[in-house]
Amino acid sequence: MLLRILLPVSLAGAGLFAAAGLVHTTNEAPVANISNVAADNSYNIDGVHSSVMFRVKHLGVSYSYGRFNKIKGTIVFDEKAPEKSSIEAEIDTESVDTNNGGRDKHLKSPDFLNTKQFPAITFKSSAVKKSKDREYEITGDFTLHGVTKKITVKAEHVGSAKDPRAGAITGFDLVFQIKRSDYDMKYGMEGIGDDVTIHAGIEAALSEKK
Amino acid sequence: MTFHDFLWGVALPAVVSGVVWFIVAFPLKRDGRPRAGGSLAFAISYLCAHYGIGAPMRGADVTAWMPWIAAAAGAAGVFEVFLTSNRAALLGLRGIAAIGIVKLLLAPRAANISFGMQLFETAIAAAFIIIAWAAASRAGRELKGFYLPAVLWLIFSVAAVLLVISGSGMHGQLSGALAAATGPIVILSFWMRPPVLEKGASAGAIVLFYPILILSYYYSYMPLPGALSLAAAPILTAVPVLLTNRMSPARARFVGFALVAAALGAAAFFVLSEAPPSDGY
Repeated sequence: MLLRILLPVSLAGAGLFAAAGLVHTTNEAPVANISNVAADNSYNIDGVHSSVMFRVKHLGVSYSYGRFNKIKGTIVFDEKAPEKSSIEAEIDTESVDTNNGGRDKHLKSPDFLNTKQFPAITFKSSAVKKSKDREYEITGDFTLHGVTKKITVKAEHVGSAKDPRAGAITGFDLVFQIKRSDYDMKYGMEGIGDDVTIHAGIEAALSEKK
Repeated sequence: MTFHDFLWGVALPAVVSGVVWFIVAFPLKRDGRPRAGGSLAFAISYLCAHYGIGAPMRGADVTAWMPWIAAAAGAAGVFEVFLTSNRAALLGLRGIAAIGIVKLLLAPRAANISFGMQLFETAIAAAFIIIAWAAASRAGRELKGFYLPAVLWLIFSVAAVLLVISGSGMHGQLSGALAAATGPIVILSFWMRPPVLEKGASAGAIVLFYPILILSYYYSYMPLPGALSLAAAPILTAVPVLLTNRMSPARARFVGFALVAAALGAAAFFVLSEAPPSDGY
């Protein structure tokens, strides 16, 4: 008799607790700023939530902005030992987008990116150093137009969190400047500036263990 | 076109070509014919333009091979003078140069296509270069007056415009530099009695023009029919030579010019048909 009462009450209680947990997980924002996200700290760059933008001077009077729509890569991030961190990223040059079909085609031509010969822009880090709280200096090989140069990029660790769908995520903001002439892209210097500022917002999700 | 583009892509190549041709053509040798070295006019003019407009001079970009190809074009035109009587050696020179140039320019594609396709593409492109080279050399030896320089100038000028429309300003400017280099030769041909573009001179132009076409088709947006039509045009410069026995020289030149114009017209049609809207750019 007692069992007939206790069993359904127990089951109902368990169901209520489970429902409350589910509501808590789906309706509330991810718990932010978890610094110790996971023991395994290898992340895959999320192309949907990452942005790579660039700007360059046009005729010396204004800045023209553009972006690359496809980026992929991996980030290894150890906040407690930044020197063990690394990043490898690859940008699809065919995905260049300046909101103008004619200009995009010109940028993809041999006059600039020569995307048929150089389908990717890559960055592979060789050293990571913490400069300030949440700020890092990442040194690595940047390859553009078939030319590889060592550059140092300032990166801000924006935050880490646990996303209900993606799991553990982390994000960085990077800004750096290059001279396109250093990468053998010297055509049209009178109209298009030499200095190119690149601003990347990178979000990466923890790699699944297999 | 900016002043910088005009200076390096048109004015300087024309002046350099004029100076080289002045040295080559005057004083004329005892037989009244110009000296060898006319191909150097095209080679040096091209190098000035290539450097001046900011085309790649080093690095992995295939366009960076063009200065070396220009030097080879200048040298090949001079060597050709000494091989004119030896047809086998002449064919060997043209074959090795053509195949070497095509292999260099198509090397980045090798990893992505089959060996059979590599062979096919190399054979077709090299064949165009060899045939056009032979045609232009023969026309250069046998056609007096301004016909051949004027037709070559027209081919390079139209190609320059079409290359820009198809998507590469750089390739268009490089072809424009060849046109600019041909300009002084057109003027010179009004005064010279012997053929102007003999002794390997036309080799310099042809060996530079076809690599530009190859680059524009494989790495830019030149449509295949447009590229083939432009590639046919220099070959057709030899038509008046072939027709001279059947009709008067004037009529033969008219027919030859009409065929070249038709090839250029076809190229323009194909390029303009495929050129997407510029979206105001």
